[in-house]
Amino acid sequence: MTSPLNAKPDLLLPTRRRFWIIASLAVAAFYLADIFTLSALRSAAAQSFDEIVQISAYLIAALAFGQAAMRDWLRDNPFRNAWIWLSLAFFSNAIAEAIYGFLLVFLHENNPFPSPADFFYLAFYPFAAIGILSIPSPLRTGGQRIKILLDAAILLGVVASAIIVLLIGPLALQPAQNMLTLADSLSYPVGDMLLIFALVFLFLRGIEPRHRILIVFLAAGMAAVVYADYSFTYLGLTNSYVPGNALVDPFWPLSALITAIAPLIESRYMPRAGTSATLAADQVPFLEKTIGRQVIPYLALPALVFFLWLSQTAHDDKAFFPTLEIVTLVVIAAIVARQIITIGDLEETRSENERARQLDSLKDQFIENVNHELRTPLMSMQLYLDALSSTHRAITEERRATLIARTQESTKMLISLVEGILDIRRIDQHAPLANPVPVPVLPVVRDVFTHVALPDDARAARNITLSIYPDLVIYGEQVRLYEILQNLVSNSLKYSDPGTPIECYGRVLTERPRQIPSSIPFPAAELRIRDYGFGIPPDQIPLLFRRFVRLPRDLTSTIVGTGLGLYLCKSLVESMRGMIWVESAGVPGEGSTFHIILPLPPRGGKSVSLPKEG
Amino acid sequence: MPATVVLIDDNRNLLDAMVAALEAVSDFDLRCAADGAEGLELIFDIHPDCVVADIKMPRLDGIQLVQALRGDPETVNIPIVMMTALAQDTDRFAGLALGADIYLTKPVDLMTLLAGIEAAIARGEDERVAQMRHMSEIPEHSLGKAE
Repeated sequence: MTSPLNAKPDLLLPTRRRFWIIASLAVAAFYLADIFTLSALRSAAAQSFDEIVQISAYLIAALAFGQAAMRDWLRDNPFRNAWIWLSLAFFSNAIAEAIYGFLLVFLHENNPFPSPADFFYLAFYPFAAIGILSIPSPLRTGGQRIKILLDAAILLGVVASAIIVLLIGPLALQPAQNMLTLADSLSYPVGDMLLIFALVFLFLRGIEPRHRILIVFLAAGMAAVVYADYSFTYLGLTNSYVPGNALVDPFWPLSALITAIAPLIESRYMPRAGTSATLAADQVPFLEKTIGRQVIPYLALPALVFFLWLSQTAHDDKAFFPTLEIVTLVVIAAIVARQIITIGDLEETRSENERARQLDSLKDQFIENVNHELRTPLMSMQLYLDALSSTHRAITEERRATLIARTQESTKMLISLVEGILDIRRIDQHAPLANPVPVPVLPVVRDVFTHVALPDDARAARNITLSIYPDLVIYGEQVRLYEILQNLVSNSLKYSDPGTPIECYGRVLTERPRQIPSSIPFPAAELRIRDYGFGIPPDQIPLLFRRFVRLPRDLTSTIVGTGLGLYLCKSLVESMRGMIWVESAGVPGEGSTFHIILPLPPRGGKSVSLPKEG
Repeated sequence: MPATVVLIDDNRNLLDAMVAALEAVSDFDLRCAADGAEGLELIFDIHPDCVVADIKMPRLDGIQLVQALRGDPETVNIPIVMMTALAQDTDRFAGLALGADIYLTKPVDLMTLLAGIEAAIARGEDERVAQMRHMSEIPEHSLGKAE
């Protein structure tokens, strides 16, 4: 089945393809025009043309992102923040370029460095980095996020070492410059590192597959910026940069145009508002599940050693002494932290597997039990039918009617057994309750007594006493409490004569009775359900809470049951860290009392005043 | 005189069904017991021609019942049909190794049950004959000739 979201891009394919062709042709033409004017003319006019080209490229990008931001703002699309920041980034670039061009063309300041333009140029980097980081990504757990951050830090550490050795070091060692110039020239490589970090982070964090094309354009655009910046700095170091370098300058406007394609293309893929970006299990992001993700961080170490060695041989000067070493130490720390998290993850996976295996063997046991329990009524049915169809001797009409009635009884038994199995299947989901909440008891009990489904005669003329402390609150889950009480109350109604009373008590127990183990916290809530029915023979009580157990008395009676109800109750009570037991003398008319102990909410939660049997 | 058969099962409904079905097609004198202990008492009481017993039962289970019957010279030859819902081979082997004559897996239809009981009775008779031969030490070939 295809969802409307998946179907949408297919419908738009022809338009998209046309758009791609036009966009790439436009970028190529723009680039060729720029490179041609720069290299062929080498004049003030060409310089002015290049400046105009650059400013318009930045403005186009700023407008493209701005328009996308507005569109997604209206749609409440989470991408809007990214578009706003990227729009700001390119807008500040346009302003910077305008200032730079004005100084260059009109005031003939060939090397206006540092200049007011630098302020806006530099603003580009944090804006763009924040924009890239604001792109929504699949939701992840805290541990995964930390791991991704550490991975990004490791990769960035390597990149930083390279930049320090190759660019920042030589820049800093240049003779005779004031601090301002130094800071200005150093801030560009650092800004580029910011961009690289943002891209690496985005890359590691992953993005929904249908948005991946976005990364391609952003990465290509940002790579163009980084390339142009580093070439510019490197050529500046060797004093070989001349404004209008055909292999450097066109890449700045080019970067803007490539990046600006992203929001335009992306608009065709946008999920509608309200669809959250979650990752399907089979669409794990880059390297997530491969051995590479475990090994690659360690490859950072030889790279760092290489750069340390290079810094020692290339610059004998100790001016940058601690920087590279600090980066190396940070990366090593990140690798260690990452490994610790990985080991923790592995242990968690192992214990999860163990739990799954236990559940599996419980299920096997259950299937075997069910197999056993289903065969008996099935066999009864078969034998009755065999008897009915046998021609060995004549059957009286009366006998035939009896046999048919018994077949029907067996069928009923089989049906209720099957229904009980569906109940049991739910027990498997009763893992210990992870998020208990305070549950007021009285409303649940009232609910149960109003809704227990039984033929009217069973409830008729019952004297039902609810003696429950009104503020009694347990710490568990309402649905589970309801199911427990419903089972117990329906048992009380089933296994007692019509007209006999049923009582339900609820209070806070402060002192631990003898039979309650110390694993159950005290004070605790106690619920009691008392009937005056047939009672349970004391020797059969220990069996009572096992699955498929029915009392011999009930097997010979007409009361329909599967022997699963009390097992369900026990499992539910224990899932809430409680305890259930029954007291009965086994004397008909004296009935039985079911006791349930359940934890109270922790202190500081909803207050429960102590104790009073009410 | 019809053969006496003791049926032992903890499920009342199934006992009724077996009685109803066997009554419809055979002339067995059928007696019922609701668990192993009750069944054992009944068997020692009436020395039936065949015992049909479930394995999973309260008080005394089918395996223990077979052990008790085979361990007593009075009942060692009573043919036993074991019947259980446990379909695993290990259970089957355990039942047979202990001395049950026939092993049936629930659900058992009437014809299979009847055939099982009759086969067990026949086998019990064979064994009794063999035992008598053994006890009187009559050489086998001479007995064969006599027949």
